[in-house]
Amino acid sequence: MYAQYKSHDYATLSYMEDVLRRSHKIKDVSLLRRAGKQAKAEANALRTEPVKMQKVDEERNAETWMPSKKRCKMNAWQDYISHEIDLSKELDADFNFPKMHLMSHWVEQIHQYGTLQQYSAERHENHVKRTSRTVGTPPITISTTCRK
Amino acid sequence: MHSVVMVALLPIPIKNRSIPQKWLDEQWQTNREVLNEALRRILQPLTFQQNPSAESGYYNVLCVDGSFRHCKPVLAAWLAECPEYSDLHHLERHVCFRCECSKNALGDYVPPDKQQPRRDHNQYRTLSDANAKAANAKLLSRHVDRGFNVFRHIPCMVSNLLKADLVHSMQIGMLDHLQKWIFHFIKAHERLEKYNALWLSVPAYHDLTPKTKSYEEVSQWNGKEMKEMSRYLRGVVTQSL
Repeated sequence: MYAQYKSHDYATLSYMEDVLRRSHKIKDVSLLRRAGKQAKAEANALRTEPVKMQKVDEERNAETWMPSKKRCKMNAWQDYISHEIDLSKELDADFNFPKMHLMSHWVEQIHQYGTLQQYSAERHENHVKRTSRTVGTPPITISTTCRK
Repeated sequence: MHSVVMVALLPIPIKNRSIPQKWLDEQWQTNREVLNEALRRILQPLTFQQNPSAESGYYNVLCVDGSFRHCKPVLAAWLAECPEYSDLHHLERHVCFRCECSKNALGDYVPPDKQQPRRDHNQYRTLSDANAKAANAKLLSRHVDRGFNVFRHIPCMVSNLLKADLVHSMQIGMLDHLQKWIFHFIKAHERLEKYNALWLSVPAYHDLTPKTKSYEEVSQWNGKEMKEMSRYLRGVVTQSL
């Protein structure tokens, strides 16, 4: 919200910096959601080994265990597997993407050029869309040449 | 004060995701070259080669009264998205176009007094022209691609001119990520029903459009909707926890 302010002073900029610092402190809560496709696939591949162990354990003790104990053991195994998968995902996850870093330049840019709202691309995009509609799509020959 | 003047509309090739990755890479490379060539022609009067006095920052400009004067034109800032900046500046993808921060440190908090040095495109031109092993290693460590780029031939600090694009970097950038993280957090803590109910109950107050769909039912968000959402997101999340 601070980034969208129409005007800034030293106080609002210091609030903005403070919010950014605090958000970086608590960002690890969402670390699990930052795991990439490869990390997710690797983590899911880990599932096979504990599942095998679980089956062996079940077969070995099938006769001696009561149904309630069996259910309890199975739940414990499931918890263990999901915990291991989450742990693996978290180890590979990070927040290293450009937009996360760009936030650290915002305060500096406001000092340099003024509020961010006046430089939003929203207005320009509308302008380009309107012009494109007026001019029309480029002839096919040009776009084909570009593709080649 | 600033204004926008349309100089050129570059053709956008048709997106086709079913073609092989190799062709897509070739297409991307061609697009990059076309963009650089178009900008080279536009910015040619400002380059070092065109004006010998440009090293000092001044240009001999033919004025309307027929006489030459020493002028100092200032290249204004422009707006683009992160991948577009990478194409414009001949950088690798997924790097900061403003400072020389490494790819592995993009997610870390950087205090204002400990920022990495700005990207100096004139220095990149020298390194690229040198074509030596050490120079190439330096470029590689800064995630810079070799080759001609018109911004490396302009006598100014190009990385100072860039401005944050609020729509792409914040509204449909970070807010989108944040919304997804919050949604999964709330789902994991079994508060989704309450969250959806609160989401739908946001009234049409002060230009807010009334909600007809919950967050997960909306397939695509645009900039205006994200901007609106930033106004009530905090309240909805706080109440649902």
